[in-house]
Amino acid sequence: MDLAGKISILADAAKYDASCSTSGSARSNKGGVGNAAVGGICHAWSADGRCVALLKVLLSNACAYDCAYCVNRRSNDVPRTGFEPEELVRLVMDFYRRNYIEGALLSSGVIGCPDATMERLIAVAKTLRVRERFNGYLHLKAIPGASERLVLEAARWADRLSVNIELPSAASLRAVASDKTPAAIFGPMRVLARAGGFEPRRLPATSAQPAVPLQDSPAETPVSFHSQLPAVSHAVRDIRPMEGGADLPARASVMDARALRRRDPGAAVLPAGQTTQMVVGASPESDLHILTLAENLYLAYDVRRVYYSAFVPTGGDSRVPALAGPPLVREHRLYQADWLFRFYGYSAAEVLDPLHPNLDPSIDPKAAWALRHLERFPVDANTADYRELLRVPGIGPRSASRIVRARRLARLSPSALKGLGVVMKRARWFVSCSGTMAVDAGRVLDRPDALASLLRDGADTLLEPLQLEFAF
Amino acid sequence: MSDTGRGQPDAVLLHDGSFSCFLCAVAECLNAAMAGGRPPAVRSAGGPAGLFENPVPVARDDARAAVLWKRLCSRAGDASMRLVFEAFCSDRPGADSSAAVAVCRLWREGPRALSDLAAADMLELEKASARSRAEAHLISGLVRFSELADGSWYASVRPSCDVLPLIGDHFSARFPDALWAIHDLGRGSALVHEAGAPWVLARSFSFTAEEEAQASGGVPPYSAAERELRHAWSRYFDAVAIQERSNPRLQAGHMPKRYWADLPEMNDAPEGSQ
Ligand code: SF4
Repeated sequence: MDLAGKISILADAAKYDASCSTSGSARSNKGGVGNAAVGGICHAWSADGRCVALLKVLLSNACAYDCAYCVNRRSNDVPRTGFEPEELVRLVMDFYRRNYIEGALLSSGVIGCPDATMERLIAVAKTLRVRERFNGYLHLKAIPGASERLVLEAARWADRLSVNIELPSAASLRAVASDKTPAAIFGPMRVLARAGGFEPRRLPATSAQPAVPLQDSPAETPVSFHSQLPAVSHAVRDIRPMEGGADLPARASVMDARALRRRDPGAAVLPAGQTTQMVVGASPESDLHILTLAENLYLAYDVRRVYYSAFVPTGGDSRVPALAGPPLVREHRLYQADWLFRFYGYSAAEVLDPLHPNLDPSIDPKAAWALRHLERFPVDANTADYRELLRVPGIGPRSASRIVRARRLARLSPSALKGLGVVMKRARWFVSCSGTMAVDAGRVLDRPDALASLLRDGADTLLEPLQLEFAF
Repeated sequence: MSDTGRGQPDAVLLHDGSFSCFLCAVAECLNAAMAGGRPPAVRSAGGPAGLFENPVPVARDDARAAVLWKRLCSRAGDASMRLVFEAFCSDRPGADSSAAVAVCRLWREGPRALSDLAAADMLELEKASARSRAEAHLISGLVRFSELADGSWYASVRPSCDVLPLIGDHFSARFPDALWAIHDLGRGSALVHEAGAPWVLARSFSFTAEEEAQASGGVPPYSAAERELRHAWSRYFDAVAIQERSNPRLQAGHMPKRYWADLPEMNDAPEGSQ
């Protein structure tokens, strides 16, 4: 098989890993080739609109495991191949020198046992760093079940490591990926948190943690992963009072917790930390369950990113549902909720609750929150603090900080807000300027359904047709 | 200006498009302001002329510009002046005029003037600089080097902002040991880097792979491996797309079509292209 043929197979086998970010590392070029850019750089966008920043390939797509959602599962009949380590090293260097990529994300099917596989990945990374003096971005997969020693060895050479959770509950893991156990996944995650200088934390309970059996998993209450998370039994230290009233959550939001963390993008070991991914739609858990788990991962393990990957049915395995197409709208809404955690100060308990366990496909979760809390609006752009501004539909971090800057020097009017980047089409119902509003919002503020129809963003109708094309 | 007092049209200072010349024009504005007058407007000599204006070309003087730049940096701060430079590089109509006004305010008020986003010129400075930064960031990913037969590297780009001066440091840190050039085909300028030396910006650079090919008798001047690697990259690029999620609108939204001509992966048909 020629090089291009191999690349096609081994990239095709790796493409369901959504992780593409190359941020978080400031590795400098010490007498070799390449460096890392703290903000990350995308190098292209593929035909599905996803960013291409890393050479994302498997060392081998032969796998001893049989995870039902995965194209590489043992029982799936696909052509198998693998790179020679030297071949892969050359390829990374050749692509990097042409500026095709920011670095590589190297993963592999399980060849033999987890440790043997991990050793092969480490060998490639080490050759790149030591012999080729490559200082570009390296993201390695920690193979579930790999020993602590090898996970730590991998962390020495990589900017980022990740272990994918994929299934959001122990019950689903048993049903769909029976070769893996929660311990095999969370063990390496704990090791990685510590390698990155973060002691895993026990989290206080939240109202969003499913206390009752989830309605969508009738037979068996999923043994939630939440009980698996605490690695040590000391309480979270970084709870601090938040401005804004009693109905805010009793524990720190992801945004707050992160603001207090001192991170070092120049660290020698694992500067970009760890990430993980969950498959969406291959198992019955609700959005509330998925988002609560994600929030816990951010808070308990200092995971940098949780990726959500709409399940793409790869045919013929009865352990996973036969979907018409990947649930892209659901994935899109989950990403939006995840942004609310990281950049807007929301908690999972605010985004959803046990009575509303799933995100509304027709409206973004921030607008949905605003509609449930109309009593908190309108917010006054001339006096509200940064966080209150962030909660206004149509105002994002950039426009909120511009508002805070600009109003120090001049009182703002509704027309000034537009210039500052506020999307007035959405914000006009929720924001005032010292009492003046751009519209007569009183007429709609007491009619949430009328307002809801004004706030629909059409993402569901835009994304839905993509799925229907493949419904047959 | 005293001219206006005599019923003459407003003087408008014209720069030649270079940042040096722009700074020389700004120096005139500062002089006028310090003399108690209203600073004249500044625009590029190549831009559209106003109806009632009295155009006054300003001579480019690199030494004078360098002195002013240093004084501005120490008075307004390096970060503020970087914004001014970025805004100038945006090539957005009117961004240079706003940048000139902004420099006068920075001179008087210091960096706090940057926060006055209710003022049109300060908002334009913020937006134009953000635009340059965003495109410089995008282009630093979209540059595609080809290896030439002599072991040097060449890439062509067509950015809408003048981003080359903004990406020179990035590529120098990344590829310090190589001879490379990044050629802005629209402006005819190029970043040129030799091993171990700081990058330089050549304002008129003429090299294209095709020209070179003609000169050498039709054979493209690429290295032996170049073609196969481009092909491998294109196959990689095709393979990572998930068919069931195909979304060309999203793709073009992130990576507008005007950049595609310089990307091998967008010009290498999947089947039998060799
Ligand atoms: S271990 Fe499971 S998810 Fe990983 S490659 Fe093998 S089958 Fe796929």
